[in-house]
Amino acid sequence: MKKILALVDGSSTWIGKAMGILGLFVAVVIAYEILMRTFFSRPTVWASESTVFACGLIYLLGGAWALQEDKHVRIDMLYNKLSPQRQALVDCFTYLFFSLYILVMLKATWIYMAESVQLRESTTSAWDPPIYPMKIAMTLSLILLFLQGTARMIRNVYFLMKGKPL
Amino acid sequence: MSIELISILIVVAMLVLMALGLPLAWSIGAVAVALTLYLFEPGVLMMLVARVFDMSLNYTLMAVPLFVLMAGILQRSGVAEDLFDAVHVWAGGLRGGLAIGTIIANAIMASMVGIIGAEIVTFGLIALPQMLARKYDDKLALGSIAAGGGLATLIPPSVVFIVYGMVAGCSVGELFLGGVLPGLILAALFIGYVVWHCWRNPEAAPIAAAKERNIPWRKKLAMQKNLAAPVCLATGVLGSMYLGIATPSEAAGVGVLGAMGTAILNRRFNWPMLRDSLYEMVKISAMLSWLFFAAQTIIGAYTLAGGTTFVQNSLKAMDLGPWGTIVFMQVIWIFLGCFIDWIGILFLTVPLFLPIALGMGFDNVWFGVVFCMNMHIGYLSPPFAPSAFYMKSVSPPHVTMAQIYIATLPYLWLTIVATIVVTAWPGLSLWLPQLLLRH
Repeated sequence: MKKILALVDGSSTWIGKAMGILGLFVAVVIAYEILMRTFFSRPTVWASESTVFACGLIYLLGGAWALQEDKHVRIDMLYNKLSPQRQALVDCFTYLFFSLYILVMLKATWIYMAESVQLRESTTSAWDPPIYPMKIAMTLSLILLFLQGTARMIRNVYFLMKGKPL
Repeated sequence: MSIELISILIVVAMLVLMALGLPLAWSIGAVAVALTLYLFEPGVLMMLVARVFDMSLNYTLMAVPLFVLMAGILQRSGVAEDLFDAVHVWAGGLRGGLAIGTIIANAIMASMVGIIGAEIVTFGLIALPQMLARKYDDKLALGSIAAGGGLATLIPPSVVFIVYGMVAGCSVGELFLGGVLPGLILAALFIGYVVWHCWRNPEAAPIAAAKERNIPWRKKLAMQKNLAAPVCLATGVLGSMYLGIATPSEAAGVGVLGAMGTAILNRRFNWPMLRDSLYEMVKISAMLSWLFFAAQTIIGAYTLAGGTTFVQNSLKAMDLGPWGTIVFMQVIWIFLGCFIDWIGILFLTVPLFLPIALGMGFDNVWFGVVFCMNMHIGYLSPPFAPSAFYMKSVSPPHVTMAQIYIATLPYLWLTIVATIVVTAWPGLSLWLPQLLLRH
């Protein structure tokens, strides 16, 4: 069990960290585009869409890492006053709602993505890059979130039963 | 089920889940999904998914990770230390000079940084130890940093304005200009308070030692060269936007490279600091975006259920008159600001309120600035006071949350005064945009 949880943690973290480099990519592409447009009057066709796609990947695939590091904002007025056991118990309950959201979205996104992949959908702009990989990324991001949230839940259940963290 | 009942159920369900400590994003999303499954056929879910997907590819949203990255690099580049030194040599001779210097340095830093967390954490690490070492009153030291850091929201660039512009469909450039005067008014009020407080309680801010006060003019002027990099950076980022060379998202990208350049000049640039900044960017922007995504789902479902029309009709039926309605909206914002953060408030209320305000003849940009002022109040109002949380994270262990709340209270009142002024005189927020952009 420990190994599976470590694998989930590891993949969330690794994928999230890998997204970091896209931030630099976006900044450099933007500078290049401004340079070409302002001084050489030769705007690129690909800069705007490629930077938007890169940022989209950062938001989507960084989500599970943010969850693993507990960065998603919560209101902690009552929550922080609870003992660790109570927190774990409440978390197990709210996990039901978390998974309702993620799983329902995942099911709908899967259909959304499958249609797009079948059509080899593209953005129909001048550059016309394929857009279906972004929809695959969105599906993947929901799967990662679900796994990470479930790993958290398993840890809570273990903690409640054995009284020590897994 | 009637729309009245649905509205009440949505609010109650979200509040219960949030109170149980489920992160805001999942609380909102779960309610949206449950509502959709209960009211509509499953096909409607596709609409929610499409809304989320479009949001993830929103061009304006791109400015958020870039400004977060720029702030992260600047925070680690030593710019804030230089800025603080350059400013406080002038104010150092005054009583409370360090606190005044902190607020001014915060205001200047705010013209490069668009998120409050970066400001408060940075100056909490730089200015707080200096003030405490100089035996400043805890209250004065904590309050000036926590409140001064909030200026990042009003003084451009500002992430709140970017997201507001995206939701409200108005020019981010005009919003940025609109925030300048209100931001300066707020800074002036804060400084005025520090001066008054130190005059009333001289022991709160012991005056600097003679050695520190009598720095020769030439040396003082030499320290001002430290200001060159920040000033260039701020001018470059904002200038490229107003000259029409770059969009706000592009200006943010330029800012990232500029911040890296500044760090290189300061000999602070290395791989670990860049890596940490990049990681921080991923985590913060992913956290914000998943909140945006959830907000997209609830707005989609609620609009389809007829909620938007319902809220608008109810507000109209209250018959408060234009100004009464605006005041009522602000009361709701301030109330919500005590419990949830600005993103939630923006996504949940602005799509409902804005059409009403516009219908009554109010200006979109002015409404945005007023919204931002209210969020400023929200930063400081307990129990959910983000400014206080950031302050706590960099304070010495003996400082309690309650102490920080009390320290920020005077600034909270001043912010409310400034909000009333900015609301009552739209010219304060509209004069600059009209002068420079609306020919």
